[in-house]
Amino acid sequence: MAFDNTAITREIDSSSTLETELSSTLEIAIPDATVLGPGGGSARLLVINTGTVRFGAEGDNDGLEDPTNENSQDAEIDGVTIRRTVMINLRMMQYVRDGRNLTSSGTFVGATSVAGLGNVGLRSETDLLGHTNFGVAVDECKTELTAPTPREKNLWFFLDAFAEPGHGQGSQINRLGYQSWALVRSKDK
Amino acid sequence: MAHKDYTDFLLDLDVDQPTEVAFPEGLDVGIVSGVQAFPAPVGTVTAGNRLLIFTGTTIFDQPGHHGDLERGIVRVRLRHTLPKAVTFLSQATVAALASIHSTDEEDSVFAADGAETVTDPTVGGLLAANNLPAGELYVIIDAAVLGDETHLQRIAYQANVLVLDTTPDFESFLVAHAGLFDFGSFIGILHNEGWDYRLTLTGPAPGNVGDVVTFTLASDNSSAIDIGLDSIVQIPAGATSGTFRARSVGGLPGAVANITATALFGRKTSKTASIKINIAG
Repeated sequence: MAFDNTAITREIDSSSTLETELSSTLEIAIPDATVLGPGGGSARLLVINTGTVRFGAEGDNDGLEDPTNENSQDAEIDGVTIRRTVMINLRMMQYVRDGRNLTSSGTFVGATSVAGLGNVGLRSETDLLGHTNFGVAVDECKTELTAPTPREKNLWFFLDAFAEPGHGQGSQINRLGYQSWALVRSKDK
Repeated sequence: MAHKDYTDFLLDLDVDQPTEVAFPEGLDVGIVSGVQAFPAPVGTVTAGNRLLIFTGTTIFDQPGHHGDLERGIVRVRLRHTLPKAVTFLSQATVAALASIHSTDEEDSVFAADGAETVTDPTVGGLLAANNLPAGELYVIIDAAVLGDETHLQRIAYQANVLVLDTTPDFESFLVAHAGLFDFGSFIGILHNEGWDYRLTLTGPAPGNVGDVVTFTLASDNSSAIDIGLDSIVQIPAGATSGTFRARSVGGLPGAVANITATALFGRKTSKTASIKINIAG
């Protein structure tokens, strides 16, 4: 099942680039937009989020870790924990501007989401059968206005990431790129 | 810090070169308004009115080596110049690994660490300009590679750029009976009767004193209106409209001509008005 692995929570935060870097959010008022597919729904506010999400580095996967990443085993995606669900808080709650609070007065209509490999370390090891295996993956992603337990209700970007194990640490994911285009219906837009 | 420590290589790629960027595409989308929400803007917030979107896949071959991670910059020239009337406001850009390759069993690292879009190819003096002009859009990608016989070969990107375009748009094209000022989108005139037309912009025509902006006029029925000498018309810079006496007159009675005026500046908007040639009596 998607998004039910051990979670890593990250924030976009202008005071630190340790969890995300070069993150940017644009709020675009548009004449109209409709979600394609089941459910439909229309809105006149487009929220674009892009950036790079960074993970942990424990110092135990020599050469493959980004040593400038956060020193945290819990936030690692390596061949030990293998599969993780990453939740990026896009912090719409904080964008209270012009009297508008999207999360209390707005309705999330739908979003397109994409995530791709950013910085990956591939551990090349030969197993007992003589096979050399390595791999990393971003399996799926989505954006939702939700309250993942026990976190606050907000606009969250979810993704599942995977690093193939080895005899030791296996492969490692240090960074991923993400983008979401979310349609939000609010009182004034 | 983004860009700062990426000094081992600088790859300049150009969307005009198919061997450097695969399938570069761009959209220029009119929006109601747009602002940067994160990072939180400092000072007065200026809202944008157009969203530029650029996508593509960069093509290069950056080899890795044993031992040290090599960090560098992939700089993509989007070949999109921002005219004086267009102000860069903000951007949201994403990049991701697209093609990586290794022929060695050694451990390896491949990275597209982050990206942003700028108008200064040096990013405030961090990068060599390499004769690239300022005032265009560039995607700056932090990249890295490690490992013997490894090759970082492609990175995909999407740049979303918010701009304020103050170039006036072509608001209306109206026609009237000659001298009567009864302007509308449709009139009926008689054979050999004259007509006037008015071109209106949403703001002053761009340019300096002495400059003009140009429109073309075309008729879809030359037997009703042979646009001929009226096919090119100009409005001086600073004017918001121009009213003209057509040099062509009503032709074949009973026929209708749709006259389309197209602005040859800004977004090259077209507007159409119709003239019917009535049968006398």
